[in-house]
Amino acid sequence: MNKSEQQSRREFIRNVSLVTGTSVVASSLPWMNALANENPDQTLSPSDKIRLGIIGFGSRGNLLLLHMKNIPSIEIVAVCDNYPPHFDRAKEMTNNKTKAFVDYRKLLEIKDIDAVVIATPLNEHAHITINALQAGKHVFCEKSMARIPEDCLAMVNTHRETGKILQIGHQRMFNPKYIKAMEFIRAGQLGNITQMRAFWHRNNDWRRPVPSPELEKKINWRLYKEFSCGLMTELASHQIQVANWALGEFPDKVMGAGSINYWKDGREVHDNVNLVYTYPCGTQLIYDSCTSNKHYGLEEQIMGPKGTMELEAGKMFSETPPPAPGILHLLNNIEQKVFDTIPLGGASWVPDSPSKNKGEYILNEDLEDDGTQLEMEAFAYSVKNNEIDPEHIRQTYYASIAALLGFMAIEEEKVITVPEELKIV
Amino acid sequence: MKESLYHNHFAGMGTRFDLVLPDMDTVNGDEVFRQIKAETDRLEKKLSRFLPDSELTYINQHAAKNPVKVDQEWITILEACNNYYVSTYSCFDVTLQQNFEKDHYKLSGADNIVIDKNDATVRFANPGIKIDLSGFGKGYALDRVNDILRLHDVKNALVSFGESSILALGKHPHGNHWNVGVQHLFRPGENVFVFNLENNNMSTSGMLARNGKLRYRKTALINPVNGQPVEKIRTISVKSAKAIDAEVLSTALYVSPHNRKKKILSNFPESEAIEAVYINDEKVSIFVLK
Repeated sequence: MNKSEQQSRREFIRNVSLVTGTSVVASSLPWMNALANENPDQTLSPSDKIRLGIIGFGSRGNLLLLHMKNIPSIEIVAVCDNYPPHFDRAKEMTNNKTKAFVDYRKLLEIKDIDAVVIATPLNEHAHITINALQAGKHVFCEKSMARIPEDCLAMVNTHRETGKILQIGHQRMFNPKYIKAMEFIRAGQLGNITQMRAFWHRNNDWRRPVPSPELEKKINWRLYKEFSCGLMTELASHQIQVANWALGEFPDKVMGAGSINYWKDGREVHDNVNLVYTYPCGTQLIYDSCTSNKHYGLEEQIMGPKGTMELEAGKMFSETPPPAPGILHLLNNIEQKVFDTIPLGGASWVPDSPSKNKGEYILNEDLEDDGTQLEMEAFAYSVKNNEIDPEHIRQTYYASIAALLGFMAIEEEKVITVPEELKIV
Repeated sequence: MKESLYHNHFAGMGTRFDLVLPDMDTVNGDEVFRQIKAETDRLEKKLSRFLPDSELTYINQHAAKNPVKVDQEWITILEACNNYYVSTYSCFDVTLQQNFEKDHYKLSGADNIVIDKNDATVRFANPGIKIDLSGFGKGYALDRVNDILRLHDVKNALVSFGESSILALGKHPHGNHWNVGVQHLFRPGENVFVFNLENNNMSTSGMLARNGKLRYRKTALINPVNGQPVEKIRTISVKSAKAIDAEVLSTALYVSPHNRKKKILSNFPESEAIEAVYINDEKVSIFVLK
């Protein structure tokens, strides 16, 4: 990492602290203090560095590498992919300085690798994660956790048995905008949450180009049930996690319907899904995703008697109008011990219609990171200090379980209740 | 020691309500606020013609066909409306009659509301009318707020209902009274006139402007003589001991023909009124009507 990259990373860290405030940094991003106090000129000795391997070098693996390159304490020492173009890219992106493997088991045999990042197709997450944890490696694994609920549970159990870190790639948990929003929600700014809606709408076939037909399932694994649950595991799990986090509960029931009503191109997973999740407190999350219209885009809407949050937009809307400006003027004068005229006396104020209520930004400034840089910073910090917030695994586990059970509810056309054997504490 | 200063606000009666209590701590302030909010909520459910399940909606739907049983408070309110109709020479009129041909409402004469005190009923003598208490409700509510504040022995308070209806009790903590300004329509924060208020009320009627631009509303004030919405850019502000007097008078004087204003005010010897006439977006002439 050169000087100017170091400079921009330090600026980024300082901005996060400034924009989110010290309370957020202390409670939700504790490693930020440590990062902020790092000496930029200090050269880390090899023993201070985390030696890391990347397994899976598709688009997500590549993106994670770019983020990790900004982190001085991470040294990429090995890469692995069993698809030749990705294998070549992995070597190229690491300047041919790393060991490169086709079989992840060979990578796990390297004794001095501390941690691995797993960004493979969904159906491969579980066994690679479990093997890595058992080999004594800390693991960062992309979301969702696994293709079936039992595998998610096995991953959590192995993480707990081995005492090795298991972090799942739900980057919104590290996005300052979301963290700040949760702080406002906990402070009661929306009142008790009574309704949640989330959706992710796109208008494309969700396909990657396939060089030759026998590679279709390897490239477009998201479209086939053997590898993925499609929209549920690849998109919905992010937003279900946000809803769970906002409410502070995990859903115990789901009903849903879905179909392939537009992209009839041989895919097996739904091109549209529509679900209702019910939480123990009685609140519902209404979720839908489609791939044939993008007008409404992507959003999580959290509602309570006092207000609404739109988390993707980073906005908050109060049900109560702001106090009159003249009254604010008066309050200010009284505090300053000034006796002055109160500017009131117009015709009756009328509220804006809901469509004109522009709301307030949750953060005053937009940080360009969607949480991915910070989640990798957090992973590096967790590995170095061998500690992770136990809530992280519960949040990410239940997000995966909810996505998978949602898929089952659509497939089986019935209401699915979370079975006792899948519950964790 | 930090002086106590209580402030809270809520949305109600189609606008916003602000309460400022200079000598009040949060615990006691919250209790006063809660009672005030409960009372205004109750009144909105009773008096609003926009809520589908309000008492007024029921009256408006049924009183033309049959006498509608009402409570004592309704008798008091409707009698007051009829009295104001007389004392403002028909300029304060709570009845609306829809003119379907011209697609707007005209006023039909409050004497079409027939009150039977013995039976505690109300009926409409003219089948086409509806009651609209828009120019009455906030003033009536502010008088009830005043009752609640006095019950709690509050000596000093400033209460704003939509910034158009103000109740000022006692005095500003750093003055001998409250100075409440009539804001310039096109220059927010600037005052065209200042009322000294101490245990009295101020109400303004007129055009609503926001960010220096006029906002027109469907329920704009209607000239009772020609049935047309009042169009000239001006406001009327009235200071009175009772909030309901200020509210009714500001509405009545706003729609009144000029030659009737003095006559109306002679029936309210303790009230003061000013009219702000906008020559253009900057220049304003102030006329003291009394």
